[in-house]
Amino acid sequence: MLKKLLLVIFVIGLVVAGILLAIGSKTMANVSYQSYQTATYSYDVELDTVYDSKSDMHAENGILVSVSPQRETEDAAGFSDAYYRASWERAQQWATERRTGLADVMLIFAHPLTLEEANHILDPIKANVFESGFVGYVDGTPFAGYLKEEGRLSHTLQECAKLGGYGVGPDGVVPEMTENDVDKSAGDYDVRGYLAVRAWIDLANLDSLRHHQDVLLVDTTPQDVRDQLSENPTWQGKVIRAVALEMPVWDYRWE
Amino acid sequence: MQTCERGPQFKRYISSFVISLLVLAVCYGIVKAAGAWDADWSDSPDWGYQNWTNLDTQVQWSPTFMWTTNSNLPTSNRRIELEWYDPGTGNFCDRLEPFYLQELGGDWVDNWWTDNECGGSVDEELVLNLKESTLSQNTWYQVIVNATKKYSAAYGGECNVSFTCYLCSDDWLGKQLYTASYDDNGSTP
Repeated sequence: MLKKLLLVIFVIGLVVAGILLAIGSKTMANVSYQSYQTATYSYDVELDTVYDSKSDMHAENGILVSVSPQRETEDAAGFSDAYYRASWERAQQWATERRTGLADVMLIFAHPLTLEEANHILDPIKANVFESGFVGYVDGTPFAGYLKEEGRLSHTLQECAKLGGYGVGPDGVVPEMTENDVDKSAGDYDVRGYLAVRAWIDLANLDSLRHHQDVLLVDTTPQDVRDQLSENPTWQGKVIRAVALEMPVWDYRWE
Repeated sequence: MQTCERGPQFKRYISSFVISLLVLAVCYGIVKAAGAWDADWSDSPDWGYQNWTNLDTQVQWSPTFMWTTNSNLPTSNRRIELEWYDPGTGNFCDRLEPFYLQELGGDWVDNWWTDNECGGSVDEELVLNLKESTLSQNTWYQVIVNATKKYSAAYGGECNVSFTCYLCSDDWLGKQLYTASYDDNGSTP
């Protein structure tokens, strides 16, 4: 009798294990990855993990967010007018409400700026810059470069040109370069300036930024996403490692 | 006498075990069919030409991709991971940290981030979320990425490229090897 019972428990256990095997990965995906849609953008949230050498396992390490703005129907590269308008109106609303505190925003400049020109806008408001995007030409072809920043823009446009100066050209030619070639290959880069930055700003400065002659838009979407996540029971309280948002340097007509 | 009594019971054990294994095999098939463990994606690109340059305080790496072999272009939710370590063994961590990205060949990167994979203080992975709507076949897509040297070791290392999506197994595309002094030490393929 006892053996029969053990046999039944064993078989049930195996079947349950099989079912979990089949649906477990799907369930795991559902609880660790979610997509959300708003009127003008969508965003995906996923759990981040990191290797923990003490336990020899991967441990949860906050969340990563990828934002996808609504696109132009005729140009997949471009953000829609509705997206820009919604972001502009949100910034206006926050300024009107005199909202305070730090906010994660993307500043899109009205035209490419030099290091000094960009810092002239960012330094007085003590913006904490963590990503920048600059534009220019390489061998006559438009290009964009993206830098991780540590609080303040620090690369001159000449230094930006040197960053990409070693790579393989868009024509597919693989040059044999040495460190001494840097100036020559950097010379192929014509960097026009910084076109966008991601930064933490004090919202007390939002209105003045919005009206700055060299600022095209203060895109408040990253902070809007953070606000939604802070109220979402699934994700609230988790550390947000990144809110990734494309800088519209390809779409924006800076030439 | 005892042996005769255990015979049928033993058969029942065996048959139950076999049935259970079949259930597990079916379940595995379902999971595999769903693609959760598929490590050979039908919409992955080929890894093309590249360059590796050893500089004073940083290295520059420029892997290039083209959708040629696979007839399917990705349609959604795909990414390319540049792993500046060996994700298979967890070796060569904390040696290189990417900080600069340049995309060439068109507007094909949606957004990107760097991530800590090994538990130290270094983000040794750069994730490129693809802008699938802009991809075309037989077109070279390239990134130029600069990474800071974090410390020197008495051994070489490697960087890997994978095509994947969230919670999917990686479709490994290739790797770049470097020496203890970060010089080019060949690549695979």
